[in-house]
Amino acid sequence: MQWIISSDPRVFIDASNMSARLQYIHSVTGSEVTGWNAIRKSSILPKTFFYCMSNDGLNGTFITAHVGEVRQLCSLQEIATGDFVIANTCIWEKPLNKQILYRMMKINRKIDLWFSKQSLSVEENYILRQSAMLSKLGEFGFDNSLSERILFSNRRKGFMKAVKIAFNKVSSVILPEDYGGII
Amino acid sequence: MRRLVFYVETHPQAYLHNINSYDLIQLPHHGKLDSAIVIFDKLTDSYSKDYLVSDNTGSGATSGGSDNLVEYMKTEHYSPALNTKNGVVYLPKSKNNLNNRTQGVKLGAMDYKL
Repeated sequence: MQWIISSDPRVFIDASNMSARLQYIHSVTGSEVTGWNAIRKSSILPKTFFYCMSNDGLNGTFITAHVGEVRQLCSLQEIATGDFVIANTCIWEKPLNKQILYRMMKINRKIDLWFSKQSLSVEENYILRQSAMLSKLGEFGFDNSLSERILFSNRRKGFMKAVKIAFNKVSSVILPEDYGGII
Repeated sequence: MRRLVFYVETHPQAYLHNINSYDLIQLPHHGKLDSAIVIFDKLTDSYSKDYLVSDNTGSGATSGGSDNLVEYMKTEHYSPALNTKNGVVYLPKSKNNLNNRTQGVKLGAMDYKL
């Protein structure tokens, strides 16, 4: 599977940080991992991203980026035609997670989308947002989300089993909680 | 004010009560690994807590001994616990250290409108 990360300097911090991320990916997949490469800007993707590949036999994408960047990436044919996307990001404003899923389902009806565990945060003008935060918790060597920490703790159960514990699968069915409810 | 919970010899039912509400947790039975794992598994985010180990037994076969726990926490990428095995420990006076760690980057926005 492929692992994509934002080039935001608060996310892609430095070489040491990114090397620690490679070690993390190796630990949770139990497979060999390539180094980081750049996805260059294009008319379709106006920002630079970095990616690596893990040799685990899975056909999916794990994205750590701002939700607007995840939205852009998920509109790409190469990503939407995979078996799944794991979005390590904020939902921010519901039902943005479902909108991203619906857009990908126009390309691939069988795709699964997973989002990080969210917490409520108060933003400008006292607006409540569904947030996922990268924090300096543990000794991972890089800022990580709650879902990444849970994924690591459950890595011995197998990657996809751990994903089911650490991330929330986005349902294509619209539920009452998608209209202002709290997760 | 920081919330701390101290355990020594007690039953799991007692030490798991409201466990998520504490910032600093003393791991029971002088840092026995099995007892610590029960705590870690019960927490919603075990990496967000600070831990204290009152280890005065080394790696005694019958009671206490935190060597296995120290190794486990290292393997699992936990921040090291405050451990009396290395001498007197001084508890942080405030939550400042923890707050610094829980601040970070929110992955919202960046032109998120569809």
